[in-house]
Amino acid sequence: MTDGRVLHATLDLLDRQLLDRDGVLCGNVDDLEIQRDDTTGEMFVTALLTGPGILAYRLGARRLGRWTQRANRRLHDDDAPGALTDRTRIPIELAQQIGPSISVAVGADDLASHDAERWALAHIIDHIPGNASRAPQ
Amino acid sequence: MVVALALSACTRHQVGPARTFDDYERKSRTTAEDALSSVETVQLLATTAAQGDAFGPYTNVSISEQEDSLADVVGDYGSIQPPDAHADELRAQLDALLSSATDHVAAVRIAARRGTLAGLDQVAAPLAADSDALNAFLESLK
Amino acid sequence: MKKVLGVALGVLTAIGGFVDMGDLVANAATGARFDMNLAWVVIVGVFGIIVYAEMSGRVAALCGRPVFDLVRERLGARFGMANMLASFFINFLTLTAEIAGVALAISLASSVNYFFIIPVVAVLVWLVCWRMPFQLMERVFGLLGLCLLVFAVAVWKIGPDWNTLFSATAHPHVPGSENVFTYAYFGIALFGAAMTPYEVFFFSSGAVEDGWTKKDLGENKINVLIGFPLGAALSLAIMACAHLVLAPRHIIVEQLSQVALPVASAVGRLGLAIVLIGIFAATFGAALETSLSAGYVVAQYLGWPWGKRGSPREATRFHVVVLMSIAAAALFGLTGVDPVKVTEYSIVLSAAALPLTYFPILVIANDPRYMGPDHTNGRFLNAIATVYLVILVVVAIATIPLMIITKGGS
Repeated sequence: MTDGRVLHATLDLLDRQLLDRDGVLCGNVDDLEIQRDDTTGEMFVTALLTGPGILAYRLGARRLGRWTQRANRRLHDDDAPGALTDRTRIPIELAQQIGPSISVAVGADDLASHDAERWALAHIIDHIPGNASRAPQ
Repeated sequence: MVVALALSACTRHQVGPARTFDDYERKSRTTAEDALSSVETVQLLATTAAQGDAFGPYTNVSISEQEDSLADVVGDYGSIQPPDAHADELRAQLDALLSSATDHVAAVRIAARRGTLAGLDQVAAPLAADSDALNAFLESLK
Repeated sequence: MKKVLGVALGVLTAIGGFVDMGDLVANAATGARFDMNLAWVVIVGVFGIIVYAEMSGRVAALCGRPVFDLVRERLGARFGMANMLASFFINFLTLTAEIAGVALAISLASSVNYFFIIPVVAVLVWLVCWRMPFQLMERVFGLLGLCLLVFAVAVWKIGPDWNTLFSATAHPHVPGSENVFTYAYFGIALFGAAMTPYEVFFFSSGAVEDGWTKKDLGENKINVLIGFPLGAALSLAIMACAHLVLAPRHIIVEQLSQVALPVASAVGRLGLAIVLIGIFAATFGAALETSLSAGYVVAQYLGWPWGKRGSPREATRFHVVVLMSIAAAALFGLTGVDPVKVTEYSIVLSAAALPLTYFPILVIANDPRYMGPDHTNGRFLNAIATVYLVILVVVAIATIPLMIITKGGS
């Protein structure tokens, strides 16, 4: 942890746009996981949290936050767990580039924040003709 | 709050009760102004169409809109309770003007629907008198 | 040569795209009621939109991200959320007004009942959002919107005494028959119409969709600096038409058909046909911009994939929001709300929400972390932008009280 960058966590991380390894927009940093080193007393950001309900929880609507998280889990049961053990938690080691937006070394589909995107695709967009055509430039 | 205010206001303009004569007079004034606007619009539409400067659908739809809005104005005014005898007088005076205007606007609408745009200014000619009368009424309120 | 053509097209698009249902209604209504006494508001408004649209285009070109995307990280999640909800609601009212405007224009040309046309318009708007390439969409409706120039032809045909017209414009006063509050209320409506926030959401998101980079900064400046003032001149022509033809007859503008009436009476049948096409194109274009803006605002706040550059499969939630917004606006229109009233409220509430949109732009345009060291605002620009921000805040504070005092301008 000693080689970590010194960042202003709330200013440089919180609410930033996340990009997955292919550059797909995949949510914002809704909250941070912070741990305290018991010996030195320093604080470390250990993970970026993103996904349904997390922002509501952080802003104080805890019941709404928990309910959204539960509902999302019910709608998208993890039949194929991806690279992450917790799909709302991105360990900070996976954050590759921190600038106006943050690139993370995971695929969007591994994240809970992308569940609704896939749900909308399967249940709505897929049923409308012409959904795959890219408008010619 | 703002949302509710905005949405309710979008539907129709409400008319509250008139408690005093002044209040009634003010409502009579806005009614006359709105009616005058409709009368003048229909007149202008009729002359424009008669000169061949406007085509049928536009003329028909526009005249119908004015007829509808005139009917709304008349209906709203009729539902206000006049507070005293003086107000009754005002009401009788304006009612006469409104019903004359309503009849003449309807005549223009009927002629326009029949497609006789060329002579529409003739049909609309009586509206000039309505317009003068409404203007005189508004003057008298001052 | 191709470059020049591109720039010219951009400018023409900006002119045609400047006017929408709000501008049509607000300019005609004030011209009929206050003559040219509120023309100065249009001029103040257009300078404001020039200053801020240029900034938002520059932000989008330099960091590849539209303004609304940055609101949350710069101003916090809570303020950003309130901002998003307010913007979304006002944008929804505007969308309803634009769809109604398209339906009215078609109804005036065909005498088919307005209520039958609304669903058809909604489907067409959605189809364009779903399938049509972005730049083609912008250009087709922007260029067709130039038909509105017939308002200027109408003013010229009426042949007013130009000296009187200009001196009346340059020396505004509150007419004797009106009180100060109503004057201020109509002024705010005009201001809201000129600076409508969705124009900025759309302008900056559009710059990202068009893939603007540092190279496009010059074109951005030209579009804004030439296109918008000409668009404002068009607004003033609409106002002048109402002032010359409707005001002397004591006509109060309460229908879209009355906005076109001066053109019919001055230019004739062909003029009427052209103005109806222009109204159709301007409101249809604005309906597209507001539909997409509904998606932009929500998706950018929540960090979803957005935009119509890729296929709908690549931005599924964005397209769902756009679709639902169009459907909801059409349903709201079908309840029988008065389209002109909806328009008036949409522009007045826009005025009340202006600081929400424009303050973040100013903050970000001054942040070297987003803009790079060489492209932040200069001192002069910041001075103007700050003056405007003060105006916007004053307008925002005054709007709701004025709305109540004047009972919505009646």
